Amino acid sequence: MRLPRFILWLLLAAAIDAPLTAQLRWIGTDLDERPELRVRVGDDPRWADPSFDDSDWIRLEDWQRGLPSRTGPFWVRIHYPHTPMLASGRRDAVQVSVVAAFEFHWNGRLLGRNGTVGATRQSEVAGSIDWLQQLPPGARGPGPHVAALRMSSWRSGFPTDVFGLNIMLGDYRELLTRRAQRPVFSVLAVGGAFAMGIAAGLLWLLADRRMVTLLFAGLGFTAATMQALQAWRWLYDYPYSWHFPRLLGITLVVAILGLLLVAFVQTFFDLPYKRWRLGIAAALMAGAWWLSDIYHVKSIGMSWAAFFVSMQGAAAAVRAGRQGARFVLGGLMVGAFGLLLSPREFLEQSFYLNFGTALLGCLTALLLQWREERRLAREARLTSARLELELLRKSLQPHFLMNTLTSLCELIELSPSQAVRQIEALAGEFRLLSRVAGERLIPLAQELDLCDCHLQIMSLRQGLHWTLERDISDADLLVPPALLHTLIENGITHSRGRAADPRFRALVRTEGSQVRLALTAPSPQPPGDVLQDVRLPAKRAALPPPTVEEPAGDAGSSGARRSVTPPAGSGGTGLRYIQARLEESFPGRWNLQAGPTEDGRWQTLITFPLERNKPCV
Amino acid sequence: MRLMIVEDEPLVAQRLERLVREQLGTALESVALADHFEEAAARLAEAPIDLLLLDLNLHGTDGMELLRRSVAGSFHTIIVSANVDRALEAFEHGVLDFVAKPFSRERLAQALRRATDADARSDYAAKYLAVRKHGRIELIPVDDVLYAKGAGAYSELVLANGAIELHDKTLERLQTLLPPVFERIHKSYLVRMSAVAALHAQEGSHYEAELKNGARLPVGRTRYKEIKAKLLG
Repeated sequence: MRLPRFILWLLLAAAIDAPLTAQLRWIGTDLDERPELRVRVGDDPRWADPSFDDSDWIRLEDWQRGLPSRTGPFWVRIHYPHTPMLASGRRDAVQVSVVAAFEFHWNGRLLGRNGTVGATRQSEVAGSIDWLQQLPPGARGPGPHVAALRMSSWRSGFPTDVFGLNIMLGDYRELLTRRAQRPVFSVLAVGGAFAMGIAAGLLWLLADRRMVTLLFAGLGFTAATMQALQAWRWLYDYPYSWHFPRLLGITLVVAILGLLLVAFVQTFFDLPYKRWRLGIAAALMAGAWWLSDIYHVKSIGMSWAAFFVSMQGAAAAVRAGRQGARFVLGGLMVGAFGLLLSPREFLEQSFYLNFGTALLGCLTALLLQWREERRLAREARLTSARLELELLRKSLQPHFLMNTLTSLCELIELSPSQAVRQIEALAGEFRLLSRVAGERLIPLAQELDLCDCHLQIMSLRQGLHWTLERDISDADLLVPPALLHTLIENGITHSRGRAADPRFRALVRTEGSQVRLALTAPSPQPPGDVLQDVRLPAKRAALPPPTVEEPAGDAGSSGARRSVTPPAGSGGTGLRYIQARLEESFPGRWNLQAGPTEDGRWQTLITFPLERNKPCV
Repeated sequence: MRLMIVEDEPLVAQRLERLVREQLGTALESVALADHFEEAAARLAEAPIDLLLLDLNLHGTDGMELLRRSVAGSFHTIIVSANVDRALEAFEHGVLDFVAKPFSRERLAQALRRATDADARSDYAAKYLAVRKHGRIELIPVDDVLYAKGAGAYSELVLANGAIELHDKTLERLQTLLPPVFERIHKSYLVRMSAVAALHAQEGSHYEAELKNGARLPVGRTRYKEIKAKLLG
């Protein structure tokens, strides 16, 4: 995909994401005015009285951090000024979220308890993290009102010494409904992410045991876990003592999720500096941890770290032109955009939308890769089938078969014993060709047998004594079928019946994990019958002379491949067959060169990886 | 008959020679063997032949170039080939016969008979006639040929556009290769019958064929009746 189109798609995705994310913003319904909050450690029932003078109490500016941890009892008094809304009766419930047990007094009357306030840890009973209570009819009115809470916070697990209080006055039905609606997106995310994790996990287990698949499954399960932890508060009430472990768990799971994301990106694209990248991500996350005491801020920081490092990796992959990289980068950018727009909501409400888009980008890249692999596999199968067919057709080639049969006619009448030998050699060649045609690699010994049959046939046909001298270090190693056979066919054809010295020489050596195979053929004869004097669109171009290739430094090391011009005449299809077979079994790891030797003979040098037959047990 | 065999497989060449000697017997004047075409071409320049047995795939080469050189010669060409794919193409260039390998005695004999039999025709008529011009070989489409006039050891091809080309074969040999629409109206004339407009009988037993383009060609006395019957019937 071109860059301008890619950017357009990204803008489109962001344009859709922005309003949706904004919609999901959880708007608290605090009162319009900021009521006053005062706190005093100690215990006195008179402190519930609305008319009590608390002017000498400590005034809290920051509701999020002002109340003492692991202490009690202590009292908090909140002055609500004149509030006409309360008079109309629309706001008739109070919701309190605090990591403390308390007794709630409204205008001096005890409204309810949440847990049991205690002077020691043992005597305290933890209350629910969220507490909702209707205001009795008598409690409503224009105001002013005083709410007094007698609290103890012995079971707060938060390491900080101070904590915050969250009080909301609102319509009872509305507060209940909103509380019920809050976990919806998280539950959706759990369902979606969990299903994705299961699917990827099964795929890994049954079909595709690669690290990326496992990482993708991990991403799904971890995302599901994180969202389940988020939804837990709204679905199942828990005592406030669980609040700290839950937030800690969420933060840790976000960290794991972020690291998995980075790991996925760099494993999928096989990027360099894997350890460095993960290390930087972990370091940034540690930095985010120390950044703030507030746990959702830590999580947001870690999310930023994960997005930042993953996007760097994806961008590197895009630069390298890797397939699917644009989709991963695009998904990450949309996710990061959502995180930017509303960080708080990213962890909960808009998580499915934004992180889901990032995962969607990863999934697209994965699927593209799977599709590409299937295409390559199909092509490889087709290639193998074609090569097998080509090899079988060799034995049926009219030039070989019909000429051999015609010469057999003559032998039968004039020299029956020779005819019998020829028939035996022909049978041998057919038998071997049909046996090896379907294989990708055969033992060198079998290949040499095939060559021997062929040379015997050609010797009888041409009245020459063709031989194959061999200097083989290891007859056990595997070669593509008809490798030498094709070269020998070519060599005989190019000798044009005028070979002064009808000998082939095969030299095979192993060097470490490589095989070096050199076949020397008699000097090729010039065609002589290149006719330039025929006038009609004769498509024959002047044939190039044989080229000499400089041998590559260490042949076959990095898959350097040389295509070679055969000596004038033909042999093009033969060399193409050999190259196709080499590519089939050793893609990118073979080398073929051909050229004249010092004494005018023609040598073909092939290198490829060493493979041996598994020993029969 | 003087024969040349151009075949790169020694056993096959040997077989061809044996069978040809068997079939022709004393009618065979000489047999020359060559396994490379340039060698054959050199020998052809020295001593003319009547019949050439040619393998198209000599030493792996594509034989069509050899074919065009051969059919331009004065001799008939019989292709003996392992690959029958190009048989039709060979016939279109004007070979006498195309014998597939391996061949039976009978099949080879049948091909040889076409060379000796005066009334024989090739299985598929030629579409091109190869002429030597300025040291090159040019292929003249048979459809362009109006009539051929015998001129000793070679033939003059008169084309529809009036051009005249010289072909190395005798009229007899040409007649074997051309489609049946060409009739031998005279000892020295081979005419495309569809181009004949009328036949004229003149005093003194002179007969003429008038072509649609106005040209007048003599018709042999003995052949007149036959030609007339073919024209009218």
